[in-house]
Amino acid sequence: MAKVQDTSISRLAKDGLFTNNTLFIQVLGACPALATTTSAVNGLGMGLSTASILVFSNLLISLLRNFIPKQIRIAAYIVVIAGFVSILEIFLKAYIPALDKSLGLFIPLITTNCIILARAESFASKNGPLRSVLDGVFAGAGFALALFLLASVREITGSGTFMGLRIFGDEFTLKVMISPAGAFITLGILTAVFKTLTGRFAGKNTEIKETRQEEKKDIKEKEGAEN
Amino acid sequence: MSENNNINNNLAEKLSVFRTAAVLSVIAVITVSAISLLNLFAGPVIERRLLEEKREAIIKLFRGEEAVRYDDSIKFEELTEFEDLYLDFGAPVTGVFLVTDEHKLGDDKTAGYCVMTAPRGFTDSIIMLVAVNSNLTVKDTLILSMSETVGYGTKIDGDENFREQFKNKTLNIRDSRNKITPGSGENAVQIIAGATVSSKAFVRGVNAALDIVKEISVRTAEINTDTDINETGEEDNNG
Repeated sequence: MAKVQDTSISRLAKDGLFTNNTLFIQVLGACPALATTTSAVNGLGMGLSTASILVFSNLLISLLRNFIPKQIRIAAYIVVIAGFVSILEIFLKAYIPALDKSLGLFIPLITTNCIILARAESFASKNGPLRSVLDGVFAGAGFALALFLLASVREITGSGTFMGLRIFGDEFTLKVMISPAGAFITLGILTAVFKTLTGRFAGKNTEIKETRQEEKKDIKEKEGAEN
Repeated sequence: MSENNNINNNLAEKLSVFRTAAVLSVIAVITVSAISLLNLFAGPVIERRLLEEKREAIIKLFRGEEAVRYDDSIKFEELTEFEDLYLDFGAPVTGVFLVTDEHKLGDDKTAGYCVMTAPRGFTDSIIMLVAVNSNLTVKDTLILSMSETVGYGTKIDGDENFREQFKNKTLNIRDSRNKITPGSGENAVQIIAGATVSSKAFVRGVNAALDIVKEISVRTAEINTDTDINETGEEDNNG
């Protein structure tokens, strides 16, 4: 029997933001995450750009899921994703040129971001439009938050600024943090911290559930014995 | 019976291929139409923005940052007739503008040239503008966009002292790693430690700008001389 996906909103939110966070848990989309997170503004911009593509591509792919033949689904998804990325690129060039300039080549490269294709293939192609949009919102928000966090840590420690505002002098900064090596180090540390925290919460919840189930079992057994 | 089945299967297979191609084509057509539609509205906005950015940058170079808001005396036009020279120098040139100043006294309103170059930096091209005076000296420089390493390569924009060195320098600027001592070369600039590749790219960009302006001046002088000779010849013939 095919495994039934739990697609409740709370589950989607929990998965997208924490337990299945695309960057910290699944380690997807690491290339733009490492390259564009030199400042918090860039990280947030890249995160929100990817999230918007994720939402719209999930919506359209979900609407078209019954019309797209199985053999060409990946090609069709890529055309849809590339279309939305081109639209985003034109929009940014026209209305937010500063962001377009700072993200540069990484905007068109969103097309090849495996998070978007993964969500299209594993979720949007199997679920309705509303749930697919919500999945896009939460998975995108999780990615955007992860990028913002990564970029903030790198900007503060490497440049001594946050969102362009100076926090401390240049002499206290660790220049390596804004280099590619710093990106790997920060991602590694944040992933470890994130996994530990989410693992603990998940572990605690499991323990509580198991304890409650055991208590219920005991009560039932006692009631059975009394009867 | 089995022959009929085979024919039906073949037909179904062909229809399936046709449907697959049709679906993919429809998706592609819809996507392209959506992009074209957006481009119809956003295209002119992008063009206006790029032109405005150029205008602001050129005014900033010739009049200073404050003048951008109120100064409309600076005009510029792209010298497209010299496009064949764009790849002839140390860094690719992407545009040359003749800048005129309406407030300048006399008939010659030329304020100088503004050259857009794109030298290859550490990660990507550095898009920069170089304002060149008519006497082939650097008036000022401005970086429009770059993807250099933050904290290292980006110093070529952040470090005012670095860009200040280029002012009034002329053709063939040399880069020096050490402190420039008097006599070691008046036309030398000191590169930034930790941003060697970016600094050298910047120097290449400025040199390319000076070289192309020199070449344009020579060509313009030749054209003017030819015109004068022709006009004199015609006058003699008439006389």
